[in-house]
Amino acid sequence: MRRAWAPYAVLVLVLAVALTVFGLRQAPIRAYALGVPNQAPIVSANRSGPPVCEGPIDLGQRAGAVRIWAVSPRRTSRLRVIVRRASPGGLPVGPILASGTTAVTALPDPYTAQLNHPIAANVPVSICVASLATPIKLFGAQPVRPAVIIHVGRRSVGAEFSLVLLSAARPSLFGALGTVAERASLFHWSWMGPWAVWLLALSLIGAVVAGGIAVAQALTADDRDELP
Amino acid sequence: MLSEPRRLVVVPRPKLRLPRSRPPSGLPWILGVVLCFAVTWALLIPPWQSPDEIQHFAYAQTLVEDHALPGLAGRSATASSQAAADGAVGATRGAFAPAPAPPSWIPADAAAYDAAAPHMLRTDGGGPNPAQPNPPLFYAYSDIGYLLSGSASAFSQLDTMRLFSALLVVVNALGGWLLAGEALGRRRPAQLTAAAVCGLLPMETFIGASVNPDSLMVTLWTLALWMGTRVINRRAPVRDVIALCALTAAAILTKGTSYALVPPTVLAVAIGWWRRPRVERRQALLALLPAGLVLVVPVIGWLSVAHANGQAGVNSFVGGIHATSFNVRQFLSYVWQYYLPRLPWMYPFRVTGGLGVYDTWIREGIGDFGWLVVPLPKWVYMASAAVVGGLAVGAVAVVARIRNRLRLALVAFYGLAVISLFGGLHLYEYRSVIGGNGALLQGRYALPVVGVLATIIGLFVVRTPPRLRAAALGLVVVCLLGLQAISLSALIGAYYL
Repeated sequence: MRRAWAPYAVLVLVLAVALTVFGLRQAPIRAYALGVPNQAPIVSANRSGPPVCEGPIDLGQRAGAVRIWAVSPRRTSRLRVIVRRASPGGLPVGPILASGTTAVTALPDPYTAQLNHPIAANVPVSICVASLATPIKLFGAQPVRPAVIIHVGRRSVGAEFSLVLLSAARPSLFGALGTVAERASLFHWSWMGPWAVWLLALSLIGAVVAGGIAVAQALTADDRDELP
Repeated sequence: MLSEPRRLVVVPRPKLRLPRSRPPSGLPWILGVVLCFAVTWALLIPPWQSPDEIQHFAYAQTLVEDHALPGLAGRSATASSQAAADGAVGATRGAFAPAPAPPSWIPADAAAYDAAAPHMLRTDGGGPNPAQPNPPLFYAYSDIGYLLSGSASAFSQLDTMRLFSALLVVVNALGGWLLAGEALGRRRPAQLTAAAVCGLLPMETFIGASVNPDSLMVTLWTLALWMGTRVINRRAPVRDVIALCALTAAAILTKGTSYALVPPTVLAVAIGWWRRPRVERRQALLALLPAGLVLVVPVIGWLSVAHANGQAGVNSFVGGIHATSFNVRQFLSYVWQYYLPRLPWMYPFRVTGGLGVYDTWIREGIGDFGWLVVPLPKWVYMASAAVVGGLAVGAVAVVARIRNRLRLALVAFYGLAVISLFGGLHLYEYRSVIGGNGALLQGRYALPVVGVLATIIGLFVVRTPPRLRAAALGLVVVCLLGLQAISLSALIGAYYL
């Protein structure tokens, strides 16, 4: 039995080391997602015109980068993202809280602007986008959250652009498991909470042990059957 | 004279001993492993983020709430309760764009839906539904979960239905164990390998744990392959033939793709019957023919019901404005280009960016989750392609050396099952493409023959030298666990981080 266990145990150890290395990699996670798919270009950000602003956005945790889905149809352009405190109607008011820039190419893709200061949690903000060169089209779709409104100057637009804010912290996958458990336990049975996700994780660890027992038993039975 | 009192001899009563039926070594443990992963998938896939799950849920709900098949005039496809749940979590809007539109993470959204759910209608759906050509067997099974959920919340219903689907993954693993045992002899390492492959291949756990008729269809195919092997090995006992016909009928009543199971079923029965002693064949034929009714009657019954409802009963196409007629040479060219590079004299006829065999069968067959928007790292696909290619070459080499007629019969049975499935699918896609409806094959459509793949891998494990067998078996199981870990990480990264 011990001999049957050994190769499996060694291979599991190798797998565990690989998964640990993978799980300790640090990367920002989505602190906020508006939930608008990047269906089609819905508004254009021009250099000369007023910035395109979307808000109010209520963040649950500190954010350090803004991701939008965009394309610069003519040639590579630069985009400036400005974060300002928002009024209840979504209009940007007050001082600039943070800003950042990113290049946008002719490829419709997500582009991420790192902010020079993290945005604090629980402060309603408006995310404003302006082109620093050629016009940039922002992708989005029909409004998902009625409270969030796009303003171009003082004019509102009947759509929302796709928007994700990345966390200021860079947790490892293991470090983010608490967030995963909270998010994954929503929209299930009413009694299900984050504990259920932790329980599932424990069951998977148990499954690895059970796999080892299965392997050992099968090999032992095979040896027994092969005896003359 | 009184006789001496007779001495009573108390004979100990023999203890009634029932034969102890212990489960085979390793089986309960591997089924437990599969159950853990299947339940995890069932609860981690965000609501309706599995191909066509929105439509399949609506079908099942219509069956139980309206006691009717979908396609009711003047109704929407989904009931108000499902539509509201979908809107709350953002299932439809995020289906193809999980990066900007993941499922809602806002507890207030969930609480608002829960508060409103008891007041929402569940009986106003049932309108035209893309899933309506499907037969109702899987949906009827899934409805057990729907009814047991005992809740007005569509999320609770979906969760319970998914748990019932997850059980089918476990049964599929059991089917793999039985199939390998029948095909290769009761060699536990081979059986364990087959069970692990059938139950832990990530795409199978993903689809199997979803509300999707493929979940039941794959399981029924694996069981039918096992039963077909029994029929061949044991010379077509009537009971086994009836079971095989019932499994084939159930597969057809689950999804139209399973008409492809009819040719191998007929072949298995024919071979099993032919292997009987000549003197028995005539009598056996008379006994076996009624067993065919088990296959034919339910299928005709379903087709009649579908016809009475004004439905096709099988998936069909409406030709678009650019529809062209069927051309055998073009079809063969399409199949060639699906698997091999185009030859100079062939017109280009490619439905995927690269070779279809890689883009569809390998990539999507190993794992591409959500609505095919959550892929695995590219190296996983490359490694899987190398493994599958190696297995294919190895299997051909093994088959080429087989001289035993029984084994050749089994190879013919499995080969026909594979050819029948893939041939039918390619015919279906070709007709779709020339009808102007575009490509439609997905990797999961290959899962019904996962039992054959599992048996081949099991064969290689038991053919390794005894001193390396523990390592070979361990490698297969650990690789599957590793694939599961990578797949679950991809799922978590796409939807929850």
